[in-house]
Amino acid sequence: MNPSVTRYGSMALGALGFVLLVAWLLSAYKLSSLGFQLFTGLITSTVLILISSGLTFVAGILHVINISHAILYTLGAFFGVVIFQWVRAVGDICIGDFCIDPFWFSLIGAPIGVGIVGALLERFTISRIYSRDPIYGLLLTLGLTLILTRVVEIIWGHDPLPFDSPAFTKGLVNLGFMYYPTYRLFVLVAGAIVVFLTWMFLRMTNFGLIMRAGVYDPQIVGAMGINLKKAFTKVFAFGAVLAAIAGVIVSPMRAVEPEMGNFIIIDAFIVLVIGGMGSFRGAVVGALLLGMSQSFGALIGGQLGFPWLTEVLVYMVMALVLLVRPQGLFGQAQLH
Amino acid sequence: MSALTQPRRAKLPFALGWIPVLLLLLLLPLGAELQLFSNFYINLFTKIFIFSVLLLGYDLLAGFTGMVSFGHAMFFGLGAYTTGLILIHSQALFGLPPELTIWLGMLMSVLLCAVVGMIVGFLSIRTHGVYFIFITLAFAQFFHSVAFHWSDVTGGENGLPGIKASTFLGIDHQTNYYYFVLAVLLLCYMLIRRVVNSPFGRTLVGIKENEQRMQFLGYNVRRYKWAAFVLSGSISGLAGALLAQQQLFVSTDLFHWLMSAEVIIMTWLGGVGTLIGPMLGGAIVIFFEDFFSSWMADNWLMIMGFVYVMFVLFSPRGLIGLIEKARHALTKGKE
Repeated sequence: MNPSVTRYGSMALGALGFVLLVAWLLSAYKLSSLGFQLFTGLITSTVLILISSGLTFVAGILHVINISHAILYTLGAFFGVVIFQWVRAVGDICIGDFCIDPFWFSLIGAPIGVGIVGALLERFTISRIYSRDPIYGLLLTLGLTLILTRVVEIIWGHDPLPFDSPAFTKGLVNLGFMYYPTYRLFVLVAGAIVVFLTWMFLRMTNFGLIMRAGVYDPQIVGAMGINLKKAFTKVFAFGAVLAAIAGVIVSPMRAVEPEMGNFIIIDAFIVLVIGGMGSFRGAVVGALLLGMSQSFGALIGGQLGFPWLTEVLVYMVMALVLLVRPQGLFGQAQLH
Repeated sequence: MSALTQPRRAKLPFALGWIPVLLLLLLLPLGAELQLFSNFYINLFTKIFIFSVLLLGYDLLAGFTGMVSFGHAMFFGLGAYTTGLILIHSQALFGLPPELTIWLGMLMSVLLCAVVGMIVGFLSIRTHGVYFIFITLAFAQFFHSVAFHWSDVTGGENGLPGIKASTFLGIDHQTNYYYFVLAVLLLCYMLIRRVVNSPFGRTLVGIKENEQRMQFLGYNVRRYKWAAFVLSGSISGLAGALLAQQQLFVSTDLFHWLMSAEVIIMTWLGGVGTLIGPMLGGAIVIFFEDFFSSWMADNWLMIMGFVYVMFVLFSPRGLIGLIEKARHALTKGKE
């Protein structure tokens, strides 16, 4: 059959299925509960996009399964808390009547700090194992995770730390059909902006071009006169910065504690596998799929009496994708 | 490093004298009897032996066939849960005498893991490298999820307490169980060694070295990989069965991805593809875990992390690699 016919046919089928699903959902559930699940799913997805886009480039270009990405995310949250407390201690910084919320310092400062930590990690440890089997990357980053998790625990302890959301995001917003916490809306918007900026960065800048080309063949990129060693460090730091941004923006919603990364890293790996390594688009689509299926699955599964259905389903979907399209939905067929 | 020299390395630590080591292990409970050290160490060594069985199974897959699985916790947990459930329920359900429950547990664990290994293996062996790592991780997480949520049977996040130890030959007593596990370990070791040195095992090493070449030579590569996966899974399931009888408690931690990671760490720390190496690695990790955790609480993990990083960076072939280097340096000095 003509490939374009198959392609458009499957797209049409998919659209039809989607419309039917939405229609059924609208008829079966109240608008407010649907909206709530939609927003929850979107927030999960946004955070996952930020985390897995760093992971996907490190895996796609550097060929390292970077488990320590989890601890970079955690570090982001902790750096955020520290900067937040510092600024609080110094006193609010005001220009006339307008005071800058300490949150913004965290949002800018923590990713920079974590980016530096990431660059150091890459330069002194991870860069030494690029020529080896991927398993060594996994082992090495696991060791780093163990070390850094304990360091975080020694410095800040086991107990969750409090982290205030900025003043203007307190309370609830009336969306017409439901009330929703303002901070969560803020996360949605801020996350979307960061995702958009990342996309622009990858499309528009020279370094974005190097990154996208690096997924295809780093050797050729090197032959074009790019300093690969530096570029690899920057790629790693780039991932660390995105993970730290995710860490800061989730911390007012979730507990800031040393093990917080352990829960999310597996989800990020699933996104990576579904979306394909080295593909930003894959990370976005994979994260949306995962986030939405988690939130709506909980809604539907809860009603059917199988609240765990989605979790099991997600792993099955991941296995299915790997079997039918091992490189993921948007991944390279042949990684060099 | 050619294909043919690889398995022969497994013999190396034998030259260090395996008879004294075995004698020492056989006499170890005597020391506890004479109050030289507490019974705690008998238990610790039993745990080391159990992990050795698990690691033997894993090494067959990762070290000899070159299929690095990130989901071996799946078999360990499955074996442990199966045996745990049988030890709890089989007396009431089938009126099985407590002497026999461990045998039924071990048998069912191995069979179930073989079946699961067939299904998971059939699907997983189509992928390679990083994708194989991820797909095995996905399946293991699937089992973790099931164990976590199917609480009517598995006890969910509370785990499976109240396992009744089997009384076969008095293995509900720790010293007897020590010898029982040691015997199982020796049998497993001999079996895996036999397999590795058989034409089948040579084929597996050939697949690890160059899968395409083996295909061109006319081997049905997939079938060999599948068989290796199933065998490896069954052995690891047996280890899970042994653990249930020892700990008398089974929890979802056994299915957690950190357990799979620990298996990988132990294997690579010791020296992958050497059989003795992973057992050594497992012993060291478990021993250090005990030593450091009583000495510095949770911070031992930091020390272990540091050790892993150092090994990956400076001795990729693990302890066995270090020993070989040392031997090489010594013999060179003599010349």
